[in-house]
Amino acid sequence: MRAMVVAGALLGFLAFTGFDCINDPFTLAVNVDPIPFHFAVPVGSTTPSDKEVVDLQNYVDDDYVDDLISGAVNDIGIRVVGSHTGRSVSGAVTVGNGTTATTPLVTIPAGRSWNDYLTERRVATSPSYLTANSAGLDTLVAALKKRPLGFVTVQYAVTLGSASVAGDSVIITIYSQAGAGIHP
Amino acid sequence: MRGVTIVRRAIFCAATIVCIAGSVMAQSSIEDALKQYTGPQAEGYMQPFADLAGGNLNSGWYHTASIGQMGFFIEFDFVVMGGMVGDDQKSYDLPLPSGYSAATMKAPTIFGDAAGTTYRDPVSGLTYIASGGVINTSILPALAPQLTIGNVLGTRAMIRFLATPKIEDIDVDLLGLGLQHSVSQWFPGIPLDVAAGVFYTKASVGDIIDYSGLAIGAQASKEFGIATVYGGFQWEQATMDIKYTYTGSAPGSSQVNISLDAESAVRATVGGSLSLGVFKLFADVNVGAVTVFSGGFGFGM
Repeated sequence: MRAMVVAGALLGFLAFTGFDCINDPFTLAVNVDPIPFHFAVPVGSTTPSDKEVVDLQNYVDDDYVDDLISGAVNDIGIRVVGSHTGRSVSGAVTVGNGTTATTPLVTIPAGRSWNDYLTERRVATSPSYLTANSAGLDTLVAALKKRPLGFVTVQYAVTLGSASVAGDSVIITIYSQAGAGIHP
Repeated sequence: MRGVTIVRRAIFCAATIVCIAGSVMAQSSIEDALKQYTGPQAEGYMQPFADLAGGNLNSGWYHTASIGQMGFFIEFDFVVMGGMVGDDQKSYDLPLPSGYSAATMKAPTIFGDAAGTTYRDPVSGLTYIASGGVINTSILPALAPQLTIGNVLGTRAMIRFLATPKIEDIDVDLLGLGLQHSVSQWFPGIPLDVAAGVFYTKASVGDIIDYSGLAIGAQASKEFGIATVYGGFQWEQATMDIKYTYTGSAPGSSQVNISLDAESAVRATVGGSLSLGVFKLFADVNVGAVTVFSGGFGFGM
C-alpha cells in the first residue's frame, strides 16, 4: 500500500516537474510557403508595370493561422523568363498590406542586364543585383502577423533596354516565416 | 478499507496517465518545432535533450557491488533519474540561411527561452525567427522500472521495461538489459565489494526518436549495517536518432534524419542505500559531462 502511494508520488513528481512543464505558450517559427508573384510582361513595352494581390492565408499552415504573433522576411528573389542578350533592366518592386502597393520593397539597380536574372537572384546572396528596402520589409512583417491574415499586394515597375516580346515574364518570390504563440 | 485502496490505485493510475499525457504533449510540441528546422538547425536545438536523456538512461542501474556467489535473488525497483539542465544548455548557435552577414544567431534550445528570438541582418534588413524552447524545467526526469535477478556465479541480470499505450499516435517504449558480476569474489582479501557491469538501453518515442545507450563500468560498495555506500566509474555512450519531415523551403531533402551523440563519456557515481527488510531506498549523484541524480525504492530478497 505504502509502495503504491510512493510510486504515485514519484509519477506525480515526474508529471509536475518534468515533461509536463511544457512552455505555454512558446513561440514556434512557422515556415511560410514561398509566395510567388507571376507577371507576364505585355508585348512591346519598355516600361512594363503590373501588380498582383495574394491572400496570405493560402501560404500559412492552417494549424497556426489563428496564433500568429510575429513575422520575418527571410529573403526575396527575382527571376525572369525569356533570354535577351544585351537588354538592360532596372526598376523597383513595391508592396502594400492590402490591395495597393506603394511602399518600396526591392530596388533593381541601373546597369543590370535582363539575362542576369535568368536564374533567380536573391537579396541575401546577390545584393548587387537587388537590394531590399526596410520600409517594405516592415510592411511584409506586419502583414505576416496580422490576425486574421489578409492580403499582400506586390507591384513591379521596370525599364527595359528593348521592347518586351511574347513569353517574357517576371517572377518575384517572397520567402518568409511567421511566429506563432503555441498553447500545447 | 477497500474504498481507500481503490482511491489510492486511482491516484496512481491518474498520475501515470498525466505523466504519459505530459510526455505526449511535449512530444507533439517538439515535433512541431523540429518540422520548421533543417537538420543542422535541429541538431543544436535537440543536443541538450540527447545529452541529458543519455545521462539519465545510463543511471541508476546498481545500488551495490555486493553480489552473492550463488543463490536466489530478486529485486524490483522504481528508478527515477533527473539530469540537471545547465545554463549553457539553453541556447546554441543556429545556422542562418546562406548569404546572411552572420553565419549563426543565438537561439533557444529545447530548454531555452519560450519566447524565441528574431535576428535582423544589419546589412540586408532580412529577418529570421528562431523557435522558443518547448520544455521549461531545471531537471529533465526519467523513470524506469527495473527487475534484478540472480545470483549465478556471482552475476546478476537487470531488465528495464516500459511500454505505454498510444496517445495521439505516440507511444513510449523502453528496454534495458544489464549484467553485473562480482569481481571481489575472486579476491577474498579485498576490504570492499567490487563488481563490473555492462548496461544497455534502447528506447523510442513515437516515430521520431530512437535512443540507444551503452555503459561499461566498475563499481565498489561497503555495507554498514542497514546502510550501504556505493560508487563507481563508468564509460558510456548514447545516440539519439531523430526523424521528421522538414516543411521549409531550404534546399535538400524534406526527410530529415539526424543522429546526436550524447556528450557524456566518463562519469563518477557516489551514492547510498538503506535496506529495511525487503524494502530498499537508494539515491546517488553522477558527475560527468552532465550531472544526473538518481534515486528510488525497491523490494528485494
